[in-house]
Amino acid sequence: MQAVTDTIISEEEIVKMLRSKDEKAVRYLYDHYSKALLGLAFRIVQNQEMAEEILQETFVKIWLNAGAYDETKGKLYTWMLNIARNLAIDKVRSSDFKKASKTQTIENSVHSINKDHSIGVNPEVMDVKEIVNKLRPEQKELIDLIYFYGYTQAEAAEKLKMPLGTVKTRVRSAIGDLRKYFRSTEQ
Amino acid sequence: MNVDQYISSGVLELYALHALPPDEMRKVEDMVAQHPRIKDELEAIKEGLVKYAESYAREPGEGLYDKIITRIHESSKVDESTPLKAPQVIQINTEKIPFGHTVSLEEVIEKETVKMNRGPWYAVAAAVVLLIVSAVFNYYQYNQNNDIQSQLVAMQKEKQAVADNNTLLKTRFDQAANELKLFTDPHNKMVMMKGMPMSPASEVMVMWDTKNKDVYVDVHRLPAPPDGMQYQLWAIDKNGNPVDAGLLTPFKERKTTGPEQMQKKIMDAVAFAITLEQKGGAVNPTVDRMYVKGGV
Repeated sequence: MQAVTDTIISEEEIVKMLRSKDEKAVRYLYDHYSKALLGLAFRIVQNQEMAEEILQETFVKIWLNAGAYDETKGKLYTWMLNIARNLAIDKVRSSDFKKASKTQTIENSVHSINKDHSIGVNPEVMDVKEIVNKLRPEQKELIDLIYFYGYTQAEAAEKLKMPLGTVKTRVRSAIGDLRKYFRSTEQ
Repeated sequence: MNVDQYISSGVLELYALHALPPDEMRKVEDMVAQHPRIKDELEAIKEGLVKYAESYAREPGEGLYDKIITRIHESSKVDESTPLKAPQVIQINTEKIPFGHTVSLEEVIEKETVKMNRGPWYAVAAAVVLLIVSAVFNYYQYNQNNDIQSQLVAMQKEKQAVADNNTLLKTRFDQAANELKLFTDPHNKMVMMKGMPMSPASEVMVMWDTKNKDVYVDVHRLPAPPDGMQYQLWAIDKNGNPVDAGLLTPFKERKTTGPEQMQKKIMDAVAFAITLEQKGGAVNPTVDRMYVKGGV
């Protein structure tokens, strides 16, 4: 889909627009971030319809809570990702989700995700995807548990049966690898 | 801890992933505020994670943007609705009433009603707002009710699991308490039967209750008997005659671990021994298949 708003607006400007209830900000954010937010939600709920529902709720939250966004804590985009991620995790943990997908528990969807990436994938990010696939499966599993499923450090340690300190060093090495791979493609 | 050590500890990565407890999150924020290098490192980590999330980008379906805008309009209606006005107090302006003119109550009401009718918009708006607030409240209550119900189901499951675990622990505890009683009862005689030359590593403990004449066998080490064979316990009386003390339950058929009570009571014994016999046991022990023996 071609972006309707092509001009680049600074993040500061966008936040101001959001707070003054200017709908152009929504258009801009939608054009630039909806694919990433949807992808994140899909990765967690594994269902396009639910992921789109979460995307709608995410935008409503962004719209209503722009006043609560704290620039000093991080980028607007990170804030949006967190909102989408939390909504999706709440969904996965809710009772109606469990009813809707009896066979698809959090645990086995972590594993099925990796087989799924050929469907509906945005071709622009294919090279990024290749980079991500360079991560070792155990690195990916750990990052996914924490990032996409909201496990805490302690919960991840328990789930993967490893000491807390190991979680810390593995997360560090996984993200280190990600950064290294991304850097090498940017040159 | 110096900055390099802090950076390589992995705590920044966990911070970026929101995987730290709140107090540790705050500590990281303090460090970030103090050290520009830590701040840069954290930014780079966040960048990497954002790219990771982007690698799973998906194309939204047609019309999703319009749906979002509709939802936003709906939410704004509730969010920014006009606050309810305080009820208007009807003030009768007595100055304007000519002296000597009496005003009927009907007249006043009529006048003021006309005034109020000029703004029916307020009434309608208030009604709509109340309706929306009530709908939102109901929806919220309904959701909360659902949440509470699912929490209740989860808690009941948890309770059942705890109860099951309790029963299991109690069974084990009773078993252990019984074993302990065997060891501490002064009437009990412990006989350690040591391995004979054909099986030197074997070791079996016999506990003989000299009051009730019950015998318990606790196998420490014995080779698994071959098919069709079974271990048999013998008590040797003071004349040196072996007395059948019963058969050991095959290891595979035992439901519990720990001492096994034998089927027979023993009145008198100076020693105990175990031989390997045909399944079902023998009348006299086969002495060259004696595995363990020990004196009382």
